[in-house]
Amino acid sequence: MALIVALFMFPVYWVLTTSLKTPLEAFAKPPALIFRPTFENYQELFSGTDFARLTLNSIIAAVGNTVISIILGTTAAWGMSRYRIGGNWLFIGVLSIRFLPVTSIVIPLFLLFVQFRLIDTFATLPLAYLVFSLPFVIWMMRAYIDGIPYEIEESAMVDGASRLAVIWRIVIPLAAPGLVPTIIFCFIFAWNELVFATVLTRVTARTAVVGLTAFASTSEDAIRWGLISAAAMVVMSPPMILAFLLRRHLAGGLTIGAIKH
Amino acid sequence: MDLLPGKMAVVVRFAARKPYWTVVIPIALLAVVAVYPIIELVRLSLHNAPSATGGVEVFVGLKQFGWILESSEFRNSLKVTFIFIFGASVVEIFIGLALALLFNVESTLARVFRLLLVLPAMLAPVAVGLIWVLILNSDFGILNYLLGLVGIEGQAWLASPALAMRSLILIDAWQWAPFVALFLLAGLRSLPTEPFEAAKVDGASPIQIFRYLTLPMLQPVLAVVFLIRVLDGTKLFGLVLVLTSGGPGSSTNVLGLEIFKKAFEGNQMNFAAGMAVIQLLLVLLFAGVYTILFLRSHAAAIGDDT
Repeated sequence: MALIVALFMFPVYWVLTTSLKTPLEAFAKPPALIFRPTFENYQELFSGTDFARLTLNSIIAAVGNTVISIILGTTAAWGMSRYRIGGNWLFIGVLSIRFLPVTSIVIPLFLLFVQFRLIDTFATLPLAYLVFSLPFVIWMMRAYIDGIPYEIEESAMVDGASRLAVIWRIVIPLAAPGLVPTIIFCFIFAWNELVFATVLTRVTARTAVVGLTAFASTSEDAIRWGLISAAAMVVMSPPMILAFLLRRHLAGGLTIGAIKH
Repeated sequence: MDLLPGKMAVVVRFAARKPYWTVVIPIALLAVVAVYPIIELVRLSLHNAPSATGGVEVFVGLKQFGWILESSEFRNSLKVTFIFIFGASVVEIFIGLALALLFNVESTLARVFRLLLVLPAMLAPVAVGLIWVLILNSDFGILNYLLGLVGIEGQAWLASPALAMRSLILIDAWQWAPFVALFLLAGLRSLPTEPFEAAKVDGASPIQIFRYLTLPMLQPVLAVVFLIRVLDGTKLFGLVLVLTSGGPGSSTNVLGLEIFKKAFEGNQMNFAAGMAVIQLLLVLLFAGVYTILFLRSHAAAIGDDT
């Protein structure tokens, strides 16, 4: 069992250690198992290339998209849960958008964004990712809000609270356990996304994942393995840290609705 | 029924006036970024771009799909996609089931591992691809070095047409078999315990229990997770882009990659749109099957409870 765990984790261990090796050590045969970790690759990555800027762009895209889709999605989920707005048909319609293949939708979306002069701006990716994040948030949050008793909201409304106040003061705090994994999944999806980021951005708003892909295709001579590994670690770290911090929520979130508990 | 008439009136009034504003902005946004693009995609696929000298789009109708079906690149990409989808899904189900059964015990190591299962699914496919590019590199990769130690000749894992697809499937399995295992573990835990206890009392062997109890009872969950993997497989892009870019030759040139290349490198938007419509139909087909299975497994689960 321990062997399986070790084998399973080896690739992540290997890229981590490669990112901490000097170029000489990275190519050493036999592989350098004992070496003095160096942060040279990370220094080079953040000062010698524009990867820091790309990382910042990734954060902007992911946070921007997450904020918009959580606010709009949770509100819509509340309306669809409490008042059955649009009934099941609207819900199924929204949900089916999630199944769209990225490579299909990106062609017309690209032409649309060209028309609106929205290629390569900071609004580009937060808007484009709504295709997938909004249905996702509505789906997750509607299921969650369905499970919250209505009485508290009802009495607040009787006491004269507006609906917006009800959503912000009562629904959001009560739905927090469902909201947290939803936020994390939104963030990770946008952070990892490649196709939209490649097609809809050029320079200004280019993200780290696209930068990483470019590294891979330009470094065929494989001289800069340490650097590539460092970039891969930067791309992999936020999802890994978030997944670790929220491990309990995530396992439930991944399988939500698919299995009856 | 302890509501006062006055209170009741307020509640009724609120309930009667549905807050449509809650859905207006999200639905309008989705209409612009998702619904309109689908319509536009279909329209594009039925037209051809104006000639280089200018003019307007030419309506070609279903002829576009005739050309696509005749294209050997498209046919190859479809074949490659199906090989990948079913290869990867089957491998992932088998490994996932093995992992789930192995780690469905109470021990510290099993608990730690169950927490780790979620990790690979969280990673960008591009990053996963790069890790394996480092490991599988035929000259400097660690795998060929380790094989050399035990006297096995190193292979060009990603550069040989015979091996590239298998490597791709196994790498996808590294990322997604743990996710499948997580799903199946949740499924295993939701099974009732009585039949298993009864079987043990009756002296059934572990293999018999697995064959005649676990497997049939887990079957609805297996079907759902299999379809999830099939759906994801249809959309494969990032992983294969980094690992092989579709090569060597076109042995791993999946549909997503072919669409992308035609649209944004070959500048054949309409042709690519036609292929994208076919990809969409494939996904719709799988999603339809998924929905049916999903509803059926829910019905079964509810049936078990009552």
